[in-house]
Amino acid sequence: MLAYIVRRLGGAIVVLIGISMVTFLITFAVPGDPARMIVGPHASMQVVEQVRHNLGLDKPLYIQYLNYMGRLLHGNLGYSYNDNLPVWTLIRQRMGNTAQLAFGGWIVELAIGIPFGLISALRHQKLSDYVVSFLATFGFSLPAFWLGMELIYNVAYKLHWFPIGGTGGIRHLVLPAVTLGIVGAAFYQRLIKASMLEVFDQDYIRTARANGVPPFRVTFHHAFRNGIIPAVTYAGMDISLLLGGVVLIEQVFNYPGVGELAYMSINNLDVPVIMATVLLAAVFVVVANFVVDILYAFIDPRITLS
Amino acid sequence: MSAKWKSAVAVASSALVLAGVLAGCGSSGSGNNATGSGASSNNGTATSSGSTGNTAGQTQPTSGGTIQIDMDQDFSHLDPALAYDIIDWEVLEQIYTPLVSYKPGTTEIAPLGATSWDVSSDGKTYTFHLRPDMKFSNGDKVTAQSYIDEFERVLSKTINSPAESFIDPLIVGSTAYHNGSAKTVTGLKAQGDDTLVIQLTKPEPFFLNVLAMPFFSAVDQSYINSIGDKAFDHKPMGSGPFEQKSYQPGNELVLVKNPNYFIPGTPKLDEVDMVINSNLQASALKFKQGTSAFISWNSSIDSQDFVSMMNDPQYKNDFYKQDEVATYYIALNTKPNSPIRNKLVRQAINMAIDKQKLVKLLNGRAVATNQILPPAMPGYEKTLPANVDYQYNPTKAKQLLQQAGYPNGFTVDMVSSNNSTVELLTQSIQSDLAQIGITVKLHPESESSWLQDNTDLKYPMGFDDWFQDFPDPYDFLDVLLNGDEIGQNNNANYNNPTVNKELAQAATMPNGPERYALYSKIQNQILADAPWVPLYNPVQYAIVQPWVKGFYMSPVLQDPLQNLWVAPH
Repeated sequence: MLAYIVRRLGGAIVVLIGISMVTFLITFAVPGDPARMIVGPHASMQVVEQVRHNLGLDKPLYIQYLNYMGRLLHGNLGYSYNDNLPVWTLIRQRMGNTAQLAFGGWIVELAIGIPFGLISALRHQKLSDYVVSFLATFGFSLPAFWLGMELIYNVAYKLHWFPIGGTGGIRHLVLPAVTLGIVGAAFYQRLIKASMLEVFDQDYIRTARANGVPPFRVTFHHAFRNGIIPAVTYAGMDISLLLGGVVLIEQVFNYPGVGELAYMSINNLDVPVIMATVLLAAVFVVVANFVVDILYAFIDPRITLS
Repeated sequence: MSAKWKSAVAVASSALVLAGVLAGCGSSGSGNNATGSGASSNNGTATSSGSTGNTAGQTQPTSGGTIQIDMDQDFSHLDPALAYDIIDWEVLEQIYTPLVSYKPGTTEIAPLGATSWDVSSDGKTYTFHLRPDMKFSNGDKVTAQSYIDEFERVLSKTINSPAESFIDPLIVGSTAYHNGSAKTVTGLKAQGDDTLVIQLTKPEPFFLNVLAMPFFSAVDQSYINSIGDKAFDHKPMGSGPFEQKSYQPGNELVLVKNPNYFIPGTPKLDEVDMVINSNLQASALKFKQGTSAFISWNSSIDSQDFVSMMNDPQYKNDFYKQDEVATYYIALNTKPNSPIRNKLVRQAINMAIDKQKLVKLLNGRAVATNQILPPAMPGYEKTLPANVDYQYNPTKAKQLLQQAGYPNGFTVDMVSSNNSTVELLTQSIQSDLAQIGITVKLHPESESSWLQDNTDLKYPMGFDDWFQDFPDPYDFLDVLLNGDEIGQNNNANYNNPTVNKELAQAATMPNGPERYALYSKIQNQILADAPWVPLYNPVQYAIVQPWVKGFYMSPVLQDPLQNLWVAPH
């Protein structure tokens, strides 16, 4: 177990270093001068050069990268070029919002996806299967920004049930979370359906049924525990992706999260913030993968870490 | 200034308040003054009598209340030495006090931090007499040294202010201070607490306009020292009508009334909540719902909502409009090895673009132009000489192209920002130029890339814009088309020694008809060389709740928050 964890952690560090290098190179491959962006078009070349020097942008690329990584290892993500605030402060201020939104969206995904998946599996190739499959696919097909705007217009503006965007409590969270959930629920519906159908074909389910175990108990006690495993895997990945940034949703709902921060930093060529948000998303994916692998073992003892 | 720095744009200064200040005054009737100015201004008018009635119905301004407005982007800087953006200045004009500002709704300089000033006969020494009753919101007294401290911050190499070039080398000793070879700026002297003397190396007729920008406001150095320069960028503290209560980046900034403000009874509002919201459609819905007080310089009215609300009896009387002192144009790089270097080709391009079509694409929120200078700028010509007044004439454009040796046209690259509206306009331009045989390859780019490629003169053509820093023709003709500006703001790579010489001459002449006539002459010479295709001057529209009183628009200032009050609704 320990060897496995150490091996996975080593791999994760290599992945993160690779991502940091690629991101760093990409930000420099894009045309544009962060120093000019900071001081504006009216500043003299002297001031632009001074800013470039102060930020260390006049040093060779590899030195800049090493300096960045050196600071990173000391827990220093640097200062935002655009906001003049520590990058960590910016992320910390938004992380809570994004975590709430991601969690809220995930709950809605599960709340829709799991029942829909079960209905599809239990009523396979019946009308109700077709109806829920259609609804889930329809939800998935909707552009998130369009769905978001429709909810804002009809539910927030017309009905006054929720605020038009922003943050400030659970009421502000409902519409963006529902948007996320509707768009993402189809994955869970499909996963649960396929997985449950496979489990229903297993010998132990047939045996249980032959022994007269009530259908409800067969479904939820015997089948569901195994049928849910792929969904757990996906849920881990999903929430890490959501934490990494739900850019469109945050934009539409004027929701100050990490995704919106990443979007603005790319527009402003704010390299320290771009690096931090990309690395953060990468950390979430790597950690989520790792945790899911461990969880596997607990949910299904047949899976061994070796 | 270009898009992001649209700023400087519209504006130039802090505000305000002027209503009362002008009167000398400290009058409690600032709201009334503002109302009068807004309603009668030539530029910043309500679009209908209904809007004027907005304020006319209220005889007595009332104090108190909170309004909420949406900002279409987050604030970049709140340090007056660094902020250079209309969104930032929407706040800074409320928090800080420059020496001078503008009369509401006009481009006329008016007292603010200084009640009066004297200018020496050679135009090189300014003596400002400050208000003796000015205090920062923390209670500290504002003195002449408070202004000197800010000038020194702008010149400091550790601050790296974008405004450094406005006063270096203009102020005596500024370069030595900037280079670190002097500990003080010899041209800045405080005579007691309330007199500030500024010595210039040469007369600059628009120096007061420069001082009206928030860069040169009073700051409390002891406060800055206590929190540090970086923190000061997010915790501003000044002597303006409001002070900052809180700021959550990306979310909200809250202003509250400054109890120490030097005009009694101003501001009327207790609190202004500025919510950052880049979703313009959602902003329009919030306005319709009555949540936000207005959509003005702080944001934009979404295109679809603009059309529908203009035609809606419920809203059409709530609009105000203001011609912006700005010009959108195509820079034609006069030097590269491409057909664009040929003057006849550049003139042909000027005649081939249907600017009225661009105005239609902007829902009428613009006025087509053939000039570099916007209408509100001194030097603007009501009628251009015929030889440089390039009217839309594709037939003649094609003839010019033939004359230039390109009967079959050519292919050329044009860069622009990837803003969706700009892309719509550049596609229209592409289609117009195709009519005379010129194939335009469009290069829409992110803002940072576009700015860089413009400065680097990477493409023969570039879609560009410039918003005034201050209302003086220097800020357009000299800043954008002087040969010295190549590599900075001269995106046409234009360098005419005669023009450069005349620009230098105009830059130090006393203000008056002679100076402005010289600028008109320079403009005509530049238009004859055709390094630009002037396209249009934008028009800013605002929509204001009927219960918000005291609103007006100005060609140089941001929204008059200090003069607003709310009626029961």
